[in-house]
Amino acid sequence: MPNNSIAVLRLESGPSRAKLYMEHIMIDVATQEIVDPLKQMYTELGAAQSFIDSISVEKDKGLKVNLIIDHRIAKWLEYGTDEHWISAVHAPMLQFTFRKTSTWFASTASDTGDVFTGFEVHHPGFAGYQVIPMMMDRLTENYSKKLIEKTNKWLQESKMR
Amino acid sequence: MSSPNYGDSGLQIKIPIEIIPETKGIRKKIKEVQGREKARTGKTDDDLRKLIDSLGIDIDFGDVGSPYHPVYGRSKLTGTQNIFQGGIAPIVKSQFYQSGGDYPVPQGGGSPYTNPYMSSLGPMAQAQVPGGGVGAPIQKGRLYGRMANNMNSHVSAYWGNRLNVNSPVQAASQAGAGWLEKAAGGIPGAMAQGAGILKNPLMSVASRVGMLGPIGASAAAAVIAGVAAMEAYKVIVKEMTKKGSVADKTFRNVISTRYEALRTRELQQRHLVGFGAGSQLITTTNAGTTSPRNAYNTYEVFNRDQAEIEEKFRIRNGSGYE
Repeated sequence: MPNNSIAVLRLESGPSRAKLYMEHIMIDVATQEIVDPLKQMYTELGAAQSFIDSISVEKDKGLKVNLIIDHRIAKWLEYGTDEHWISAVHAPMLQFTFRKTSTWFASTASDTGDVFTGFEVHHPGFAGYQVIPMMMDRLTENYSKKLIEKTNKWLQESKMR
Repeated sequence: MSSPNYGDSGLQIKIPIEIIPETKGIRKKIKEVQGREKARTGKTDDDLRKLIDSLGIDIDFGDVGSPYHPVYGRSKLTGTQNIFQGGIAPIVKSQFYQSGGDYPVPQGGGSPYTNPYMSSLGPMAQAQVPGGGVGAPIQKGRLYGRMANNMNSHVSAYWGNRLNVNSPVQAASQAGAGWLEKAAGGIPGAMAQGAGILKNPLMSVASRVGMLGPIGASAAAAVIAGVAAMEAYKVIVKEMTKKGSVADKTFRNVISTRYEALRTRELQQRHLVGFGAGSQLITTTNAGTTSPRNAYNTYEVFNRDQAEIEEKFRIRNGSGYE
């Protein structure tokens, strides 16, 4: 908190001071308490790095933050897809990689599991990671607890000054 | 065989997370709890509840264990619903009476009305009434049996355990919870006389319900008038004895006149004109010893001005310290 802001805040009442302080620290706390655990969870699940990097929080009006996963297929990865066909649109051939744990890995020619095909590929559908419904209750609770704890501490300190 | 678009901005996830201030949360919580309580108890019609409370009697709308129980179940007072849809009918006053202005008094033993729900409550017992006759049994569902049957609804109000059929006087006092005594001005004789009409306990119940309005209203009015009179008396006495009131001022004037009589005519004239400054009586002890500080009759001055001072000023802290 900048010093000049504290000087201004000291003139305000306790609740409004707490609100302003919370607005100030919200993003940090949310990053610490929501974004980082989510990223860790997605990493453990094996999500792509671009997907993990796209998780962030942004400030909204008042005491509101938005959790953003800004990825092209974020909803598909999170909530799953129906079965569908995949075809090459931006390139002459499709390229994808089988993991070593896949049963199809042994059938690939390359050691890395890379496959190139000109055919359409059938995707069987995906249940989605479903991380958000699984984690969000606990994360938001931790977030609010931490926020309140920090704010109370700051209020006590600022009162003593 | 067309593939869907490979992702776009519409596929990003945005989840709002908001911290709600405590007061908002509490208010919401209270509403939530109230709503839950309302749903549980079914107390949706306050008027009916007030009516039942004013009667001072138990009205049970059915078995507590029943899944269709309107009080503990899930129903609302939404009119003439069938019991099996979870509703109860409103108590309509006109339906207490038959077409000829009589009360719905079933004659004899068993109920002439058949209702599967009511019949499941068990056989209706014969009740012996002092006076020789065989009164209608008081059972669950009996009083409003006709109404319930007509409306194809479950209203099984009954007078329950609190009505002793064998003792109408006791029954009146118990079931009415003392309303008859109040109405009769607390005279037991009048109450017993009133209970004389209670040969048929069922009729008595019906008649009491029918008469409750005017009697209750007049009794309440009498009580209120009495209370009001008592309060007015207290207020008047208090006002008269209050400092600065008319009576108090009169009293002070009398005393002042007596003091005035002790003064010389010259001093009395000075008082009338308004030069009262040097007119204070100097009182001494019998021995004649007094200090100048105690010699002035400040008593009169103090008392004369005290009422006015108290009216004009309040206690205030002028010390500069709190």
